[in-house]
Amino acid sequence: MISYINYWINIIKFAFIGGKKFYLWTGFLSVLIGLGFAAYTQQFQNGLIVTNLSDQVSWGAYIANFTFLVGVAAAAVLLVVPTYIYKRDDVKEVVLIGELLAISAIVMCLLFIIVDMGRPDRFMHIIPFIGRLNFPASILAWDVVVLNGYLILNLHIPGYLLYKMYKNQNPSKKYYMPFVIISIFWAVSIHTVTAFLYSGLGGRPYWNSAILAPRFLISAFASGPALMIIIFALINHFTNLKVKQSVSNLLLSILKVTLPINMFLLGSELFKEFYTDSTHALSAHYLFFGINGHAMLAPFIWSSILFSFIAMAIIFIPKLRNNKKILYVACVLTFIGIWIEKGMGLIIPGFIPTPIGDLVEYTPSMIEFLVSVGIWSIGGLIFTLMVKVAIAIQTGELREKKKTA
Amino acid sequence: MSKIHMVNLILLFMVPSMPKGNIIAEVKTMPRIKKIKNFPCSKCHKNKKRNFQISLPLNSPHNEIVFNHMPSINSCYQCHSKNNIKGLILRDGRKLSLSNSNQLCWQCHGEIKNDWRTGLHGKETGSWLTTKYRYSCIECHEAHSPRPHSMKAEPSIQRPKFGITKQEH
Amino acid sequence: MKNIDNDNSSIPNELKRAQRVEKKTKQVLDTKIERRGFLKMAAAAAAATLPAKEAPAFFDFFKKHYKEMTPAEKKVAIAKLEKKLEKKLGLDINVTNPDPIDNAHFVYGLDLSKCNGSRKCVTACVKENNQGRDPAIQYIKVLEMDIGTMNLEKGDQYYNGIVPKKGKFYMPIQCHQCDNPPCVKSCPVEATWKEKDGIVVIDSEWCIGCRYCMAACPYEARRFNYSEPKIPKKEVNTTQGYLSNRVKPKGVVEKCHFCLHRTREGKLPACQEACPTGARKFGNLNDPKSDVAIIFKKKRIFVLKEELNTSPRFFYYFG
Repeated sequence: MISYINYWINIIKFAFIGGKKFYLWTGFLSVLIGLGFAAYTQQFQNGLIVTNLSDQVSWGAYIANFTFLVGVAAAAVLLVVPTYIYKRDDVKEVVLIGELLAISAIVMCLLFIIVDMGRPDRFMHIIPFIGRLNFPASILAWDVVVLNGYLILNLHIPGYLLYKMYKNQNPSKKYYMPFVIISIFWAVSIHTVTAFLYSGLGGRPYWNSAILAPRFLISAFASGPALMIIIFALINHFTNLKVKQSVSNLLLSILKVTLPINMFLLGSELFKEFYTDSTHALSAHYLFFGINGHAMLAPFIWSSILFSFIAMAIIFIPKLRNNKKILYVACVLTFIGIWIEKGMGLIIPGFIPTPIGDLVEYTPSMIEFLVSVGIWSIGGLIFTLMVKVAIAIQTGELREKKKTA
Repeated sequence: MSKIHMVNLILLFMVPSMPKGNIIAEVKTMPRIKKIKNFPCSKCHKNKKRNFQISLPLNSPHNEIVFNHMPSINSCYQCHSKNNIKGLILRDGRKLSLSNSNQLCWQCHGEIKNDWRTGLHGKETGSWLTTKYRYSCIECHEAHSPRPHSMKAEPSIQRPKFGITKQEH
Repeated sequence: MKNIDNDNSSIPNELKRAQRVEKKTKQVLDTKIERRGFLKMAAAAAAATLPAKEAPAFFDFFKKHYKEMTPAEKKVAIAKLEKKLEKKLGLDINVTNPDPIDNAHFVYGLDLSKCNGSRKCVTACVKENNQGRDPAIQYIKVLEMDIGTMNLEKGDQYYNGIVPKKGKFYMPIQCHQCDNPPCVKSCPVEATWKEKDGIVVIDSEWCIGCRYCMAACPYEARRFNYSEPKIPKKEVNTTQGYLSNRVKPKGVVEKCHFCLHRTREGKLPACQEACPTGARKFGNLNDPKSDVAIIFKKKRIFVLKEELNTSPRFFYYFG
């Protein structure tokens, strides 16, 4: 027990001590977190009136970010499967980072849900037995269960492995392998359930599409690898852990498949909307062309599509993708493109027009923007600190000192 | 949930033969004669036996009445009793109190009569559980000009900040 | 009533008279169906006998769900809420909680050929149900539609001026109290549910404000309190139903509840009483002589978005 407490003291100490660059980065994030927190205090005091949400567009930036981040969390499975199922040693070195990314993403998701709630003080009501979780009727209740379950799974697996590594012991398979297997299915489930959240609503034709869950998963498996390629490049640059090129190649080959499929599914959806041209196509029409000259989202969605096509071009032309800097540009474009497509392109138009035909646009208010940035910064900070510790333990820098007999 | 739906359907068809023990509200016509107390006819019409003309005297307060009903009606006394200022008169000569003015309307509007009697037409207040009061025709339709009047709508809710105006068709 | 008399001279005299009569009948009926006194006494008695009244705010945190409360606990909760509201509003508040009536099957019919779009129902509803005035919350949305279309997307709910306008018809939309309610299904904490008499209610003491029900509702019937509702002190309706027209806190969802604090006591909903044209018909479908039952049989009725299989209890017809 004492050694366990010592372990925590040691890793926390280690997490907060670093070089100049480390302090600069965490300081920068802390400032953003502070700004976000200040903005949230405003929202907590005055209510959601400080956002640009309305009865017509009742979900906005928070839920859009939430939806996107569930995808990032689910993408960790792309490292878990090669490591534990196909036993690839090169991926094994970074799988913990993938899982820590999932943890940070889920934490951000939960924070986005909490800031979106009108009564965060009543969060007890969603906790089973203490509150009254409407399970299994409500898909949101499912989401609460799967997200928290995924968080626990991902806290357990890397937590256990890192602790054992720290203690210089061999991890026992029976303590983590079953959870790994569960987490693979669970990762798929979190994004499926999140998609069902929208596609299960008959009153919102723009969302009520069977293709939504596959679209969510594929876009997650495109944005996830893109983010991971960038993160691994940063880790290579800033830390002692040298990620092998083969890992990036694996992620790149995943991206080569998922990015075109993502565009294909988007295209199928758009064909259905625009060729049928029923009254339900109004949402899609608004998204791409605007209504009566109001086209707040059109520039974003077109740039998202442009980004995706540029990224695809880079990935498929060997000359370009072999230049690492250009490849990173492609990854950033993929990430931003899918963030726009899923956030602004999927959540917001579902509310425009409203079920009885009211037309109200939406763009985040300053407070929403700051709170969102704050939450992303919290995620970034958590991830930085966790990865710092994890890499130190992995490279042997931070281990329990062997007792000399 | 479809069970409830079924129950609804069954209820719908069972309505006419619903067994006793159900809540059945009573319906009453909103009394009318009392309202005329505020403007008693006798205030002006003291001489009950006076023979009224078809056209009203110039300074009569009834001049403001705009008659826009049936074109074939050309005299007040086709509906108003000549002898009894508080009374109405049916086409067949039967007399009628102001409270039963509905009868007068139903001489021509037989279809509405059925709708009104069953509650399809006409406003109701009171209680759905015990007694309902149904407005008589002239509560809403001014007898001399019975078309429903237009009115000013209560102000609309404010359009949200980013609301889009729909095109005028 | 006062403001209606003041603000428009365009209302014909008959209507003014009608309103006066209506007020009178209301007064008579109110005294007849007075049950509040009894309820208040019962609540006070319960509050006096049960020590839980003094429970600190900490227990508020772990309070029970409405459906799990025993009748005695409900009384305590009502007394507590009464106290809370009195403190907040500085008024003498009377919180009622009438039980659903057995054997009643509430339905609402709306005659589209009569509705003239005057929004009297909206104003009456806002007053009766203590909706926030700024930002304004209105349960009823009246769509002004072109004759010749039933496409709700072509409707305009922000019209003003003299109504009815030429070539338009008016379609009020409020909560349809569906028998297969998507909102109830979606709520993650069961803060909204369907009661025995068919009314879908929201417990504002339990709602977490996630607004998933708003996304789920195909009739756009639900409203969210983006800020603490502001109501002029004079205009607060002091008779407040626990599950219906109580003044809401900030951050919870609310919606039409067929004025259950009125209808369960035998009265008619506020919107029905305010309608100047008699387009609104409220009643008990189990009563074969009720107007709604007869309309069901005699008229060709329709419900909005029937394809969604929500089985609304709010139907439209052309009388």
